[in-house]
Amino acid sequence: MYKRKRKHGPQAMRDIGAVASGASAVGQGPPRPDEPRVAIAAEVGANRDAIINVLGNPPDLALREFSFGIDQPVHCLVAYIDGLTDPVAVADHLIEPLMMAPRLAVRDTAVTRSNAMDMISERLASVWHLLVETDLGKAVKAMLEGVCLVFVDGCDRCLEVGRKEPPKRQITTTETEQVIRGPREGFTETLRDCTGLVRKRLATPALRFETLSIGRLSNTAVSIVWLQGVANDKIVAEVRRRLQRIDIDGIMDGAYIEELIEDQPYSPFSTVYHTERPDAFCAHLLEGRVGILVDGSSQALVVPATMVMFFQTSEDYYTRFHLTILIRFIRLMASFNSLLLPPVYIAATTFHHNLIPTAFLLSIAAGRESVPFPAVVEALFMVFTFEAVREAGIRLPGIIGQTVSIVGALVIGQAVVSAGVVSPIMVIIIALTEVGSFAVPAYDMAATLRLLRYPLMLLAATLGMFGIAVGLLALLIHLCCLRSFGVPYLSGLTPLTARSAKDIFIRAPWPQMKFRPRPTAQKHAERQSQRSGPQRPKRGERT
Amino acid sequence: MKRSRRPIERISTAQLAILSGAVGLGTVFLPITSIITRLAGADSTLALLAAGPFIAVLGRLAHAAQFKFPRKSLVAQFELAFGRIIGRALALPLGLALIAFAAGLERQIADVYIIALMPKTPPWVFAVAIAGLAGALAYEGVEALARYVTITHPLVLAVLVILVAAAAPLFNWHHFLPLFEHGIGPAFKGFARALPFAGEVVLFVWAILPNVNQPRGGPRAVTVGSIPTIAILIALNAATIGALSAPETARLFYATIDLAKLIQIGDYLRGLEAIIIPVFTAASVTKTAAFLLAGSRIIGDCFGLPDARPTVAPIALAATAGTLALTKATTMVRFIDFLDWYFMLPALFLPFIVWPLALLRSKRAARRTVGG
Repeated sequence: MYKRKRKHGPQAMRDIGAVASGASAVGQGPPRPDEPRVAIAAEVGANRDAIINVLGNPPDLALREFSFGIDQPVHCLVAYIDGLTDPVAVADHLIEPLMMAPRLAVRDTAVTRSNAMDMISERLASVWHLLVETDLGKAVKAMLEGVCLVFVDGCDRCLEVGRKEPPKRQITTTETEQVIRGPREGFTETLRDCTGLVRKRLATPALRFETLSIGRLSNTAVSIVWLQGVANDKIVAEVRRRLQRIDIDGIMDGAYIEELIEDQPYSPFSTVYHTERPDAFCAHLLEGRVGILVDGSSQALVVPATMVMFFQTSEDYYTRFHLTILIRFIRLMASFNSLLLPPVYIAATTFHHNLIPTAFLLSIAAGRESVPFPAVVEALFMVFTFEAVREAGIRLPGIIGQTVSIVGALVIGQAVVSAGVVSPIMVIIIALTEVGSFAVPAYDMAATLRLLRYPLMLLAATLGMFGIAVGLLALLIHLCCLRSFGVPYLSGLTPLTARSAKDIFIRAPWPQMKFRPRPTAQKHAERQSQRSGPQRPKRGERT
Repeated sequence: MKRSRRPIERISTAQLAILSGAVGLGTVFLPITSIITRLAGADSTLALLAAGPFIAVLGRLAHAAQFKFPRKSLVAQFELAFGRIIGRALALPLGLALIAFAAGLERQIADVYIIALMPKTPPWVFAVAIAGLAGALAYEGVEALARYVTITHPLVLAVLVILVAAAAPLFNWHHFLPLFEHGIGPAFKGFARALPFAGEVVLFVWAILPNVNQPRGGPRAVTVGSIPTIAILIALNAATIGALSAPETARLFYATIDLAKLIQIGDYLRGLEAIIIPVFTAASVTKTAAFLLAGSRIIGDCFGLPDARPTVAPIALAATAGTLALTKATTMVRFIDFLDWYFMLPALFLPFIVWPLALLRSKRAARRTVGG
């Protein structure tokens, strides 16, 4: 147990600053013993000065002092941050009722200093959210989150009125995970909208949200989302533990959290999956995974992540499974192309000519006749050029970006071949490689494959096929050791079981997928009952 | 001593099956044809056909009593059978033999690459690369090794099946005839030469069985895992002799590579040695890592270390340095032969001596569980 200190004066000012900045407000729960409690003064003026001192009198701080009541006018102060709180709503639902009260609603009861606070909260303020706060530091912190504060002379409490309504974006179509068939809604940067989109899809009391405040200065709301009874409790507890462990000044996006809670942050592979699609997010929750929603980020995080997840899209489950099987095969081949095509070409043309059919070899030799560089230099030059064009295309605005990409691809490609800097076959190889990288659905995985291509190219140039084999085996060993929240990253692939195989290289028809993946959902693994699925009508029942 | 915080690793019986098969196949698929054919001539396939089922049955029997010692390490079982000091003294040479074998493999693998792919590259490049990969895998432990093998072993098997199928047009029955030209003696020698390979697997499985989820399923897993390995080795041997003839196969050092070089279907399927090499690399890493892990664990247990981790890295480093600095390639081949006959072959029969003794004394012995 600890005693809460009551302070006033300059010391109180400093303490308000510390509490308002959230210096010790990581996570939820009771205040820490070392957290100072700053009492609200009974004089409105003192509170006003304290707020101004703590915040440094910012231009968006709105302070409105007025008196209400007829016989014994009561002086009060309304404080809020303009831009976070709607001033019209404050005027309509708080200031106007207070000023009109003596003449309208509460003629029978006189407003005095002693009953002013109760009158406001019970009879005057026409708002949904209303809390009484006794700690000035916490009150200022709430104000910075969009709450309006009401101080009354002679009362050492204040009212927190309204709720956080920051500026926000409308729910729109997701831009990074587009589908032809399936829902088009995407998460927004507003946490409440995101939770609403999840609730809309999973209308069950088993859906659990647990919100933490992370970031000493940003006080970002972070929600852990899971399905009680479906998700593994140990994984939920581990997610909670890792989030509570974060002690950072600010969280600007979920990516911050991603790196702070990963099992191996130095791995090139991401062990936290992220999605902008509420349907994909909910599908992962149904498989027993745990979601993390971050206020201010439109990307929801999902853990534990396995490697297979990064090669699947939500559309795989909306189209006919025959097509999905074909698409997954093509995607897999494209991924291999993205990683291995340049290294294999370099190894084959540098060391293993006998791997290439004679006619093709002659064609390659003819194309390379005027090229003064070895294959690896050619390849590196082309890959770097392509990366630069890609980067320029992303950074430039819309139409210009597309133009630069097309001009880069056509003009530079044609020019370097004509100039004899690279051979025509190398242009084809790099084009196929880049197309392959675009076919990988998860941006993180595509970027990782692009990154790993460089060491493999260098290994191929120095040790040929042996170098490629060494590089790939080193990657495989790394992947075998990688875990995401205790679940092996290659889970599903190793060991490959009949259950897991239904949704890795192929996508079995829905009636066949009766169970959830084992490593994430250990309890209640049945996804659908044995009766579920189409049944052939009995004789005589056909219409 | 402060114990490692690493949790006790567990692998399934299915993973054990794949692991034992992969260790059995390991680097064997390159030299076995030449080794057996040198002894048995054209009858080498028959020798392997006879040795295969024998090895499978013997392997199963060797592990039949494992469930009597749940979670007990090899060293703990030796201690039960012979007492603390003598048990450790007897187990230590087995661990050292496994490490020496791993070192020998590194050197042998380097020579294969020099012969098959890059004659001008110094051997240390290959040896260091394989040692690095195998050391890293062994350091990560049994679970990582099992996951690695679950992916690579089917690929190794698939490539060897393709190789055998692609060699079918070159097959000539006359290369096998006449049967038993010099009596049954050469075939028996070939049969006997196959047994140490089984000893290697028995010793490795013995060292990792405490990590298997259900020890009762261990013997069956070893049998199931060894069947595809034995089948592909017999098929590969038959394909090599069928394509190259027995005298030619016996003359070559790594006949499988020469078989791969010989294959050409049209203008497209050729140069298979460059495709075999990546697979061979994967299999080599498996076997080297398996022996490093098992050897390090035995040595660690003998000296009371809780985990194989502290010993793997220095042992891998010393083994690689030793194999490159102290021996030449030809010496190393003879050294591996020596290990095969004097350590791996006896290891095949060791369980039949250790377990009855341990069972007799186990009632009084204190239980010692594996440290992970």
